[in-house]
Amino acid sequence: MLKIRSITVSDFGPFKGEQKIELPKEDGVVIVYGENMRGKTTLLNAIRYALFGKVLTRGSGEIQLHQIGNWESAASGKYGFHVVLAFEQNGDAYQLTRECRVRPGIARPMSDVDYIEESFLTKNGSAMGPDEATLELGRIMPETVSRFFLFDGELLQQYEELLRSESDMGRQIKDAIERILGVPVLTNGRADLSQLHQLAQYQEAKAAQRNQKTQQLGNLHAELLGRREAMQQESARLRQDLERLKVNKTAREEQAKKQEQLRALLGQRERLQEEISILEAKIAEREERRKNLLTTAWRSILAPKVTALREQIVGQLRDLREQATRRLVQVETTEAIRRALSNGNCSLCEQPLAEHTKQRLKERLVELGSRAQGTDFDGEIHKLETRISHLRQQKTDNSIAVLREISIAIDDFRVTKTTTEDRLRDLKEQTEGLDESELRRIYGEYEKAVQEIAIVEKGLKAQDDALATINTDIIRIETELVKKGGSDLQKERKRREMSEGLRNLFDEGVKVYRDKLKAKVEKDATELFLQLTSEPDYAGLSINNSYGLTIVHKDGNSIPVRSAGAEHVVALSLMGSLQKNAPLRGPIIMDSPFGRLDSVHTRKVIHTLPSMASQVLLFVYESELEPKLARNELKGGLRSEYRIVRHSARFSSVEKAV
Amino acid sequence: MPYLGTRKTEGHMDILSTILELRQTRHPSLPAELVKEIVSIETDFAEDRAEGFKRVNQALERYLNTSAGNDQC
Amino acid sequence: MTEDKKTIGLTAENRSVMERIMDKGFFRDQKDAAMFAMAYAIRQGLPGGNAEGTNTIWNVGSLDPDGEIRLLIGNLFPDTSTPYRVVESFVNAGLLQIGFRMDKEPGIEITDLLGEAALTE
Repeated sequence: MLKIRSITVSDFGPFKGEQKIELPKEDGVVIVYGENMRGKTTLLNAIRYALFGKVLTRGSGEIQLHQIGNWESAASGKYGFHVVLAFEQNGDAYQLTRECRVRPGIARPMSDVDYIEESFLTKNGSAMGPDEATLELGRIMPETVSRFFLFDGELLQQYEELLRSESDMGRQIKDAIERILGVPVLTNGRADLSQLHQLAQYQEAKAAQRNQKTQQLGNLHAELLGRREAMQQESARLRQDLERLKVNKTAREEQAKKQEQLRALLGQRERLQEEISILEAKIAEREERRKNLLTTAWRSILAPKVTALREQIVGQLRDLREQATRRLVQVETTEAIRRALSNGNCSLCEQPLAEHTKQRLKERLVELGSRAQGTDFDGEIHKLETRISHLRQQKTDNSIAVLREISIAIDDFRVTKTTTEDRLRDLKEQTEGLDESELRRIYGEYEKAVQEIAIVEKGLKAQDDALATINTDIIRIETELVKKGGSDLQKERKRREMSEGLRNLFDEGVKVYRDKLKAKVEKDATELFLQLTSEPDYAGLSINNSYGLTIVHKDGNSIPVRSAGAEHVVALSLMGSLQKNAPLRGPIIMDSPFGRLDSVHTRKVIHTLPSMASQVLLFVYESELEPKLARNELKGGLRSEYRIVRHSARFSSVEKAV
Repeated sequence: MPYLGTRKTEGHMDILSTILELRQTRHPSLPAELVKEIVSIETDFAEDRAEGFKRVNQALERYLNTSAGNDQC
Repeated sequence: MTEDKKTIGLTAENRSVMERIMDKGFFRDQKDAAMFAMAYAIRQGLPGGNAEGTNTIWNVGSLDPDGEIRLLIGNLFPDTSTPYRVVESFVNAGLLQIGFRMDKEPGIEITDLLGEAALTE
């Protein structure tokens, strides 16, 4: 178990002069508080520098050594820097110093070449030789697994790569995880024993060739082994090609995926343009119909009046005809009375009229006479009949309801058109400057990569088949040799059989151990995750072949996409699980791990940290992790607090909080 | 045996126990001590493959010579 | 007796109303809009009367080639002996009212005016 005892930096980054952080022997958490740009990440980098001679930027790029020294010291003519890391492992005390100093004769260094870099390691007070030191450090903390101990909270996206196993980064991380879990012990063993087995086969073939009894078999054996070696080399070459092509294909796939979205957008754009054209045609057609209808709509508008008028005139005509009829009756009555008065007899019974009757008839005649004057009924009736006829002839038009419907339809189409035009405008912005030939090129390259992979895979299969055949032949020969060979071949045979047996053992061991590990990593990561998450619907984590972890909902489905906060929690769960299962144990050192977490999750992480590793070192800023919260959650587990104090923009110091 | 037991961690024990269990169940003719030694070498020289291979080869030869000697006795 | 008009015209104010109506794109030509305005005015029961200061736009022959309008106006207003003068006055009264409506209700469409109940009904 690696445990850091102290970190001493001198003129490193903003840390002018010598600054030291001491970590206690006991298990627990040490927190270093510092505002942004004061040097928290620099301290993480100091540890990285001491162990591996590298200082990384946020984007994982290396910083030149020349840029690392403290500026204020440099301004006063003091160049260079050093870091001392004191640590323990399995009872041994180490002190690792790495320094960068100006080459003699250089007054003012301008680049890395003006510096000499040296490192030395002491173990239990005694200096180790450089090669020995390199080996020792490689055993204690291999660089390839350092990412699981020196954890930069900002670099989370690497863990997404684990879910895409064919990406270069994904494979690197998978290899790193397997390394930290000890898998190379078995895979290297398998590779070494495989090689030893092949060598043993050659030795057996040579021995057989030396003996007359087995010479022919020996020659054949040797020849087959030679051919097999060539095939294996060819297989290895093809496998390398395949790896390269797959990485290339993944990259093209990524490009094509981005283009796929753009291609879909382009398609959508065309469809929208078509939709708009159709709508415009519909609008134009309806507007034309509306114009046609409006040419005669005035009739519809006046129709009620015309109808009412016609009815009115019909009524007038009826009245007038009645009047005319009455008038006719009056005229006939007048005539009858005149005739009666003229001949002195009643026109009905023809009896002579009495005097009083004659008088009454004369009075009646006067009365009727006065009523008969006035109206020219015929004329008036004719006028009214003419008007009615004209009104009946009036052309009809029932277009109002239709006009209304058409107008509503036009408005609807216009609204739809405006919405569609807005969508099209957005799409046009998204697809501005798109070069379609670029799209074709990318798809072309992707297709080509797919075809090349198919060809290589086919070749590899053929090669593997041929290898299987030749291995069968080799086994057959070896079986023959066992029968025919004497005691002089026994040693070679034993060597061959032993190395083969061991190789098979280690081969099986790799599979079994990997499966065991994955199950364990998944179980431990799930346990941690459930402690860290506040979401009650999450059932746990599920692991893929690349050690990528997916969140599993309690309904059994995977959660495909994660927020940065969720990514954080999953990454921490993985780290904790790897710590628990790795043969290598060490501290967890984290820079700004809570930036993307809310207070609930921050509290949970703090609470869980001591169970994840026996030594935890945190570089945080106060608004990310309140000191009070940390103290409450960790209680006795919090061993010490430090603060990075600003003296100037280029000078910070580390002070222990009392 | 120079490499055993001194600085090995729990994790290493897990690799060893896995492989020894497999040996017992599926390859009982393989010598347990040699298997342990190979695991130890591969653990110590994970970063130095050339040295690792050399030492595994040596371990195998040593075993074969000892066995051969025993056979002759 | 007043002579009937041989041309129909619009007041200056109504010429600009006509332009605004035509801008809305509902009518094929100004004639159609004029007929609409006339019918609208009659239907709404707006007062007719002399339209002062009109400038000639149409010849009655082009507005009413088969005399249908003259007959109709003659029937609707039997007392008049100058149906085309009546047409002109209602055209202008209708346009004026429509212009007023467009000022009051900027979003109003021509089809909104269709079939509205007459003021006097």
